[in-house]
Amino acid sequence: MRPMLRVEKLLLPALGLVALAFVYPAAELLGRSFTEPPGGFSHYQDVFGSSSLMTIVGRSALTAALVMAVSLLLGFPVAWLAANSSPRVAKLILGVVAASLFVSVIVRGYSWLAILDRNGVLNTVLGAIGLESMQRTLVHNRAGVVIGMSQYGIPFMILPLYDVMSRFDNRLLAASANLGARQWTTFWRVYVPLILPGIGAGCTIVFIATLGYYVLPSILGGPGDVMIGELIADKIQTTGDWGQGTALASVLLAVALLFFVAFYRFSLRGREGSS
Amino acid sequence: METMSEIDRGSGYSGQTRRELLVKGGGALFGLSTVGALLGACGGSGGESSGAGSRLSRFILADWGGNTARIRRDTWGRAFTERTGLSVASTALDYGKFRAQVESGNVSWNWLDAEGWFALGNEDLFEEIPYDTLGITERDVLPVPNAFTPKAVMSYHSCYAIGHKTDGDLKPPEDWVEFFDTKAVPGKRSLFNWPYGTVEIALIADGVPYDELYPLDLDRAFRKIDSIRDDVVFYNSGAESQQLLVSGSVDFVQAWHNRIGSAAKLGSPVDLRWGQNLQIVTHHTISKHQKDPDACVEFIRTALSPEPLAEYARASLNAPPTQAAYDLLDEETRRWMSTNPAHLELSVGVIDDRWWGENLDRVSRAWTEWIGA
Repeated sequence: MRPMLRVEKLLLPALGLVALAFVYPAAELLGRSFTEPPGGFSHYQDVFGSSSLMTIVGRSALTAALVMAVSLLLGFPVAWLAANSSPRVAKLILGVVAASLFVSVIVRGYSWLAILDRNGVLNTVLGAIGLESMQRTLVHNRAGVVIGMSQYGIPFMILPLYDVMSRFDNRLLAASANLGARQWTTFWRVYVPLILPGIGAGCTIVFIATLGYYVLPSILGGPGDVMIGELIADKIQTTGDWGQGTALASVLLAVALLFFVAFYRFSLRGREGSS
Repeated sequence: METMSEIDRGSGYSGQTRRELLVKGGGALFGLSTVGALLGACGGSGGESSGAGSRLSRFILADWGGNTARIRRDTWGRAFTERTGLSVASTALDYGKFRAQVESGNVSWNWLDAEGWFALGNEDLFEEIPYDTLGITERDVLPVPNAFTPKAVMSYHSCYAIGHKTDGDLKPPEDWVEFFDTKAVPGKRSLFNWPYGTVEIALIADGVPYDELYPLDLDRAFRKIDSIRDDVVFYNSGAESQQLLVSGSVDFVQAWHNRIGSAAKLGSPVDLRWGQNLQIVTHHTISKHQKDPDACVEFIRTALSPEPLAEYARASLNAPPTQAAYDLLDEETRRWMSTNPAHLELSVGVIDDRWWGENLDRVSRAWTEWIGA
């Protein structure tokens, strides 16, 4: 093993903090899922044996995937625009994107309520212009959760996308066109593979952050839209059921890690394929 | 649209749940007030604020936060301080932490706002109520069951009734049967996302007579709620029940009576339908291993005496359990009282806290799994 460089030693305080504030409590929590009476794998048997709990786990993964897709679809053009604008305009766009991160999610959640509720801004405007037939209540249901979480996720998609896109060499596009590729072909076979690491990073962050999210689903969804984060909080805080709560937390961690590895390999493959 | 803070200022519901408290970050509140209590305890050993003869520096109320706690300090607390010289402070109530205190023999909370199911379901945590010294007898008490039990004495009454708007075109449901009949009475409804009381209401709506309610048939109740679920928005806290109704997100709500009364007193166009209302009893208890159980008894005696109880009822709109306190109330306040004889006449009965004390954990687990799936 080669000796540590001096610069690498600077990482030690941060690693120590992570070990103390994250690794240790996480390990302690995972341990409790086996030690809480009756112990062993019993809590995992309960979790995997309960169709309603598995429904909620599945729903969380599905919602997170949907939010990830919406964020990618809406975030991609914004990141592209920022990456292909003058530095001034790019700064402006990224500033606006980052500014939304300064507004508390609770405030954002209640703002969506004011806009999307039955008597909210959206329905009032639709009614005023004679489009009553289009009026919908888009909160207290799955739509509310996806809308609110997507707004939360989009900046986390845009920033890594922008990072990769702004370093993309646009001459490659011209080269591709020169060689006779249509725009669509150039996009899919030259542009996308080269920015795949950005897509992978954005999708990983949005998916994992959405998967365990707690506040927005509880404000914007109904009890039938409960996600795994809310369920864990409920088990531990309300019913004091540490066994099932920690078992569910371990399931959440496992699902998040699984997706992390999958996305990581996916974006690596993109890089290798293009080099 | 009225803001939440306006509504909240006037309300004083004490039946907030553990969920509500926890959802709103009761943990942080607990931390701060615990530190405050500890500082108070240390500072008080000098004796500058100690009540005569008490070993306490301050009398700590474990309560549900916000207005609820403020009203209690301003009414019962103030009267208690006048009588004893002991100042009163609130901290966040958490049943789990309370049990841990009693089991470790080190109880720092002097009184708690125990919901009936907790008081009657955890008698191992409490001392006998010294009825001979409380100066209250069954004759003084409004006719509600479970008022006197060996280890819990009623503190105030509440009920679930139907809140509705008064400025819409929709006819409100007159009782739970109509509340669950979306064809006869169209409109969006709101139900509490918590089984205590809500399960009874669903069963009553399904035609189960009160004397056959317990043991509660959960599957039947869940089926009944599922049958109207497309028209239901669930709420998680008393404040949310007001907000959903006042903002027009729903047309009718299963509400604690005082939540709707408070909003109406602040000028919101809302009112109550009392048909089949379900009564709720809350209790005073004396926890074991207290530093000064006499102070707790004195607090209960104060809280049950007519003037502080009437004052509490006027501010919170929770109903006083004694006739003497009820007699002190004006007509406008009585109109909102769950124990108004006219409202008792319409009531189906009282929630059976003995049953809930034994079954809440199991039922809340079943509720979460049913409603989330």
